[in-house]
Amino acid sequence: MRDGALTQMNAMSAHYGDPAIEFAALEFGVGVTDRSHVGRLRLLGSDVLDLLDRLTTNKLENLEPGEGLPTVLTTNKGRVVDLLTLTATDGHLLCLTSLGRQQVVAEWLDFYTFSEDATVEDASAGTAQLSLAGPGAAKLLERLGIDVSGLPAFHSRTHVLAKADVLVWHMLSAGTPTYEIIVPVAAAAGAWEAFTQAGAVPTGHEAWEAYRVRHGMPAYGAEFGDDTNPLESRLKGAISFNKGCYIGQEVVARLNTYQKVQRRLMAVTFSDPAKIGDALKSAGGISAGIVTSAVQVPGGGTFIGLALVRQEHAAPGVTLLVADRDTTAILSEPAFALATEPVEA
Amino acid sequence: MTTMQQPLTISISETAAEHVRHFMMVDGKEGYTVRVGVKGGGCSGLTYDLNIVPEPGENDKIIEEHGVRLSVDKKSYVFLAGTVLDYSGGLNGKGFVFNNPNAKTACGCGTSFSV
Repeated sequence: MRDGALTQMNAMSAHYGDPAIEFAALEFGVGVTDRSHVGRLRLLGSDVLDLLDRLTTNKLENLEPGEGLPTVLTTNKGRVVDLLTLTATDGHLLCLTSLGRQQVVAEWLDFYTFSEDATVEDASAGTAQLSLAGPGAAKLLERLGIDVSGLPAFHSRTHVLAKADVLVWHMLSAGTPTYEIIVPVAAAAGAWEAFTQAGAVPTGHEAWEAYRVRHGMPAYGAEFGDDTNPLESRLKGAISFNKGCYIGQEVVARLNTYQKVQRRLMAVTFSDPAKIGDALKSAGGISAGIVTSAVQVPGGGTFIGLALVRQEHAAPGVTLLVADRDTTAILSEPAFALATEPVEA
Repeated sequence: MTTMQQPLTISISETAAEHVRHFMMVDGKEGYTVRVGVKGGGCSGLTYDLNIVPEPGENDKIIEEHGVRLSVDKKSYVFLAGTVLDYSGGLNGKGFVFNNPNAKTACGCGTSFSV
């Protein structure tokens, strides 16, 4: 193992030598990324699902062991506190939060817990999270004796790997499968070694970020947050429109029913480097949006990004300009499947 | 000039107490407690919770008024101090109503509030 992977929980390596090879592995083979710095919460108690159902956008009446789904924690103004991904396992719910958001989410849930049997524990430090991504991910797991065939998106299974129980969690990420592997910290190095020996390319932050942007996966603080609603951030697949009340439901339902969403998240290909916060304008000079993520595909590849674009300009094939220079920005639909496909348990 | 200070307690109107006593009698629950509280949820963030229970919860605050015993858990009490539990009857009535001075906004259907 190089660069101290899995030894510094909050310092994911930027790369392991060549980000271009790492990105290629994620796109065409299989890469393993230490993403232990992402937040993980353990939610316990007989009322915890009911509590989450009242606080978040998706329908959470029942989750059988192994089942899972995404849901959005929203404020009463319909703004995003965080995108949560849940799975039922081992007598509790495991909840993935965005990077560094576990404390905020835990405090939010605690504030709204009155007489319910619901407890939130931060599982971030006690577990590690390895992301196995790329078209070869399922085959690699199979070689290690882990059968993920027929495992629906967001569902999970417990397997034994490196002499430890590990949770294998199928994540929906457009175009290329991703499995989040949640392991006890003590077993993380063994699991990493098993994956890399089976052929997974160690992949660092640079390649992962390009992979995220390439596939249009929105991130907290960039594409969604307390200044966006879940619809403009293209999180519609995590929203149930017939579940009844939850905090922020009136606002979200109204935006959807009356088509009042002002902006839409779009994927962008730039002619030259762009940066987060760059303003976009139409050919006629009208303000059209803002760049929320911008990367160059590792290895001198294309400049790609994500942007929140005003509804009237947000269509595939539209060419915009970065406001203060001649850089062109060609829009396309973000591939992230949450953008289009509703997912309910 | 003097201003009326809102009493920092929870009270029940005579009409609401009458209905509570009636429901308790019909259900054979005389002597039970009306446990009021707050739950997370509803469009605005918080909703009211009202149950008839055999005993108050441990550490609940107890209020006796008009022959009815109200109890409220400590965390809910923070959001309910000054609330009057009333009853809106008739065909268009809403049933039990929480008149809560702490509620700054309410959702469209009026069942949830924020502070």
